[in-house]
Amino acid sequence: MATEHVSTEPPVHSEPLQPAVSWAWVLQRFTAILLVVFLGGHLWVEHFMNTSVAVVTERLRNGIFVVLDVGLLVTVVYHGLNGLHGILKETWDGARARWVLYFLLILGMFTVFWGMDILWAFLYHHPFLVIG
Amino acid sequence: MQVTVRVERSTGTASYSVDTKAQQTVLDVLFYIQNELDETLSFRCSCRVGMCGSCGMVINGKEGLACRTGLDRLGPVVTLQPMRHQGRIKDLVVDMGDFFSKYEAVRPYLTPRPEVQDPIVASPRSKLREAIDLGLECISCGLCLSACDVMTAVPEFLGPAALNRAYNLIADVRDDARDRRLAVVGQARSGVWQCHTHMSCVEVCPKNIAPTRAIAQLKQKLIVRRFMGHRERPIPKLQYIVKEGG
Amino acid sequence: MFIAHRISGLLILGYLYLHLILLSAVLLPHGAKHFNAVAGVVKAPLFIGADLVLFGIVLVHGLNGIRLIVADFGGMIRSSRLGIWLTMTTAALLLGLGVLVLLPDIVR
Repeated sequence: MATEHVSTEPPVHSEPLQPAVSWAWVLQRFTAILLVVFLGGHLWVEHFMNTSVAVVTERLRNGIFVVLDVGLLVTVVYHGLNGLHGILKETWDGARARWVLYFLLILGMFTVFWGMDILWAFLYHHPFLVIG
Repeated sequence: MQVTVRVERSTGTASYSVDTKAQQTVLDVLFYIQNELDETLSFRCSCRVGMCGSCGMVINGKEGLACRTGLDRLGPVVTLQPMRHQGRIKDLVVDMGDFFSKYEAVRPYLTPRPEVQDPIVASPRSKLREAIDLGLECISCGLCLSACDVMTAVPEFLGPAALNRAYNLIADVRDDARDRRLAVVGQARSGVWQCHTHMSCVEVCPKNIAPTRAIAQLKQKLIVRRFMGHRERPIPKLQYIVKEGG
Repeated sequence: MFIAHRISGLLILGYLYLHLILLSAVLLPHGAKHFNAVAGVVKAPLFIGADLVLFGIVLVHGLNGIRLIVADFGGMIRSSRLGIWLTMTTAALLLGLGVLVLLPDIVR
């Protein structure tokens, strides 16, 4: 892994004026903790309770389960896609990283919408977007 | 004991067979090779007792100081490579320019606050010395930067040693360049947020420093500072410090 | 462990989309009526085995993630090897518990 060349130019570290916090980093930890709760709850509910449509529908009429499901959906999409973004931006910096970010943002919004649509289908027996 | 020493040299891997004695170190063997077998072998060293930080290299795949690594633990085949992520000058000698320019970027020297007149005496037990731990012991050998896996993908990363130094000074009440330093360590591409918390630096540090801890503290300081704002830390009076320390 | 964390993260992200696709494939064209029938199919031993593999991956990622957050608060930095050992043992134990819970469904 050692490089053969002798580096001549030291890297230039431009100094910004204000200390900066990476909110993506903070949110990644925050959603991680939330996910332990949401995903633990999700696995417990889906395994130890009946999963027939009638039961799921009845459950979704209860506000707590809507919070659990939508909360899980939003946090999992953020945590997963931000994790992917973290991996990608380590290799792709600059302009390409920005496009990756835009793409992942749109993908994330689409995924949340998609997941909501599935929940909607459970509630009203037909999806919101595509009428079956 | 007969030991095969494989050295990854600039010209390719060279293999030397050395008859070692008990308690010899990797550095002893390198000297033996240079004196008796191959005088063209280049390596860097100075103090031979683990306090100068010159003889860092990758020994059997793991970073270590040649003078502090005994052969007894290494087995019959010892592979020596130059430190990673740094340009090579020759054989086991790497260019430390990148390491030190990163060190420079955090302003590794105390900038006294102008209002400080008397020398501040802070007892080791005083809370003033926000647990810097062993952080001051750094001998800038560069092993942590070599072991740091962030460097593989992000060569701009300031690295454990520079960030540890930055934390030591940021935690120092006498220091006036806190904001500038926090600004440098908080940068998106090269700053603390890139750390993978893999703790390789902690594992290889010959002085038992925990740079990961310093980096975690810096992150906390940046976040707390964002929410609470910057509070001017009062310069403590001398009597107060003596009282607290006693 | 860092590589394991990334790979398990990517696998879970992949599963998220598989999960959504499966749910949509059942629900969107037919409404909720066919859901119960498919819910019966995924109770087959093969699916439960796959579920257990997924559960293991989630455990590795989740417990290692908790270890990393603890490290961000200054914990277990000098003892990261012990931390990895502890979290992975916990993961194995919880996976074992999961196997025990699902065993009746597999050998049914």
